[in-house]
Amino acid sequence: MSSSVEAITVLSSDGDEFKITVSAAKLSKPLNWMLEDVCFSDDCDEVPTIEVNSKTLVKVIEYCEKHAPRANSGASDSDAEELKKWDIEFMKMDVKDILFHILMAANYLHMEGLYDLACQTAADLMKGMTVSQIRKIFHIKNDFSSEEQEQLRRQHPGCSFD
Amino acid sequence: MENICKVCLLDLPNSILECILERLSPSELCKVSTLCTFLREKIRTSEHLWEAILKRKWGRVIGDSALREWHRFVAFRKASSSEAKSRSSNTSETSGTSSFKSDWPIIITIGSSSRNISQWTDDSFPDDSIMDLCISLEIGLFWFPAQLYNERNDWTIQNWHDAMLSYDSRTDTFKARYPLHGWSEVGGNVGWDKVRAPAVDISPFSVYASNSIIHDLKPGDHIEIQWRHSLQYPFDWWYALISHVDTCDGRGSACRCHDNDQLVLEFIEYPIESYWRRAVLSRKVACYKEQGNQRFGFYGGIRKIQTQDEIARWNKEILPISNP
Repeated sequence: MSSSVEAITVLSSDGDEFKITVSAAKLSKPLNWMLEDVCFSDDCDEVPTIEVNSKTLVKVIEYCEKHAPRANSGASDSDAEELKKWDIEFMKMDVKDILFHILMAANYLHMEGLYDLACQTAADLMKGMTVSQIRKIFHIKNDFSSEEQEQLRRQHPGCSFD
Repeated sequence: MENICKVCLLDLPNSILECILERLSPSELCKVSTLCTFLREKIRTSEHLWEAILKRKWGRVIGDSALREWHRFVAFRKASSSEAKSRSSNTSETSGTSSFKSDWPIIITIGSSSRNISQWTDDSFPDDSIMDLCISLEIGLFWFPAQLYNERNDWTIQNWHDAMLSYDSRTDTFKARYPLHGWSEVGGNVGWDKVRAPAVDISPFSVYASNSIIHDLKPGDHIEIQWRHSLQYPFDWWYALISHVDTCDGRGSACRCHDNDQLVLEFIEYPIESYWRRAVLSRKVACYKEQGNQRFGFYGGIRKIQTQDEIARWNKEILPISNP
């Protein structure tokens, strides 16, 4: 083992290799345990697998690397402000098509900050949409009977069902 | 925007789904409950979800007294619902009757808000549920006891005082009614940062029983003390520091101030030369009644501030004014 290890290699569930720095891996308890295992085991060649697909893992690692300096050393208010802006941009990118994967990965990797951010993003997405837009985007099947549907229209005159 | 996620919302583990839902307002949840039967049932039946919403949104302003008043409110509403139904839909207000006695009034407003709640009240949820409470808070139907931070532009008054509050979702602020003049006086536009759940659960006119801590107070302790201008007024809560008695120089082990019956308070928002800066009370008297006079007002019970958060909050409000 070597205490000078700065980055470790991990495998995604699709079998692709990724590098993550030791300080970034500390944002996640399971990743940190994995890292200790790698650093302290005799068989240093073994590459651990993370049960997250490649597309998602790229984003998770990007988030970890960005947040690691602050998480490890504390930061000033202006850094925190900058990080908040970065988070918003981070969630705006192509992340939308993998939002739920990121949520599940953050849950599985015990990453509170990313988990909160992803939950809030999902909630914010729903806020501005009509019922039918939400159904389409979140893949929800309308399974109300026509009678129930009619009743809903009466009870929720404010909601747009079109 | 097509196909922005390949996993369906309903495929998410329950705990994650609830974490998303608890970030929505009741009106947004109302909308989400019309998406499919699964979400409708989830939103109507998950106590856990509504508890999370209560804690997340209202935790800082809803205390034990507000929860107790909620149960009275529900009982009162049930008892008077038939009467209310027969009344016209014009806005009208009533106050609590003697059969529901409490230190706080029950304020029922009939009008615009009852229309908003109709979309929830078909067969959907039991009265008195946490969901009912959250919705009643959100639409401003339920007036609850809480405390407001009172400050003047000059530094002369800074304290917390009791009020009944009702939320206004359009402005994200609160309307307030004050205990003077039978709670009829109404103010508005109170921001979240000026509201807290009452630190202790008593009437604004009662002296708080502080005998359990009064003999342990020592110089340097942070406290809040009840004070009122005259006996007809409700108490407000003021921040103070416990200081040394006049005969003590405050140095190290020689200080016996904690054994002295005299309790010296420093109201640090006032300049040193102000006669409002210091007050000297008797610990013995403070155990059972208020002390003071018409000129300097009356000092009631004391609560010791335990958490750094609370101390920081007071210092944030007070210090920029006393030490510009």
